[in-house]
Amino acid sequence: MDINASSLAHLGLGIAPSAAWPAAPGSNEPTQDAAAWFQGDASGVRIALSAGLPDTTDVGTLAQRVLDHLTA
Amino acid sequence: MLKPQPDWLAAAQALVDGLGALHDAQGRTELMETVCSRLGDALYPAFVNLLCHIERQGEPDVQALVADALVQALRSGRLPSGRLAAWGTARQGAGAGGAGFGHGRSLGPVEYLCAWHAQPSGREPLPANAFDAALQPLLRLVGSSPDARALYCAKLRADAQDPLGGSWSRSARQGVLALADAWEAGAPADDVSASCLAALNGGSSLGRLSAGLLG
Repeated sequence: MDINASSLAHLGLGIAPSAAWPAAPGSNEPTQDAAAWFQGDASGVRIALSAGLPDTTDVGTLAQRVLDHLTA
Repeated sequence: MLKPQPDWLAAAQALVDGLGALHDAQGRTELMETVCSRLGDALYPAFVNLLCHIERQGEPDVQALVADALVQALRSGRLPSGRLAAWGTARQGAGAGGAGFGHGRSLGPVEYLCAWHAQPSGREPLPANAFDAALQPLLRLVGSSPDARALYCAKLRADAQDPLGGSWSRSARQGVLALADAWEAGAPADDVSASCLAALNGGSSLGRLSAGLLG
């Protein structure tokens, strides 16, 4: 899988794609708002143990449920 | 490829639900490995970001569940990892992207951040403030289990002192060792991160300045 600006442009880290992943490694493009990386979500929503756990213990299915929220 | 608008919280919740549905350490380790392998090396930071979300927004029992899953993975030598180009190989493939490099090294989340920040890997270095913002929640999450913290520190030392581990730059080795020293001594996450960053950047004022830690 190629690493490029678009592949990680949607990490939700608050940084412009061109600044996050310059097409040419080593270029001197300025980073923008880098402090926003990995800052998390400001919604206040908490992650809790669900009352109703998944109805499967198949690892592949459980992993896909994670990826369904992230990848196209 | 990531969605235009990934739902990080929902993904983190799904990971927690999956871990909760599995009652043995092997299954939980396999779940985290499968998520990482399906993301691919280029998107391994997405897994790190999920851990950060879980630390910041997870209830204490959620954090304990994930910390326990990580310690079990550590014990089995199967910490969910991503590959970065090894020290000395990035220049060979400049412009081709990290995945195109022939020699890579699998790194767990903490050491991945160190290597990403400190040594050429074919991708733009992780800025110091982003490194700090990602490292601190990881340290708090793993550190919520004393066993996990001790095990992780031992792993970091073993990796950094491995005489065959030529894929680490000197600064990355120094940074990882400084992190292990401070973390094991019980320093708070912000101090551990600062110590690590100073070592990663040579410990000098110039290095700290270039890392954006001064001024």
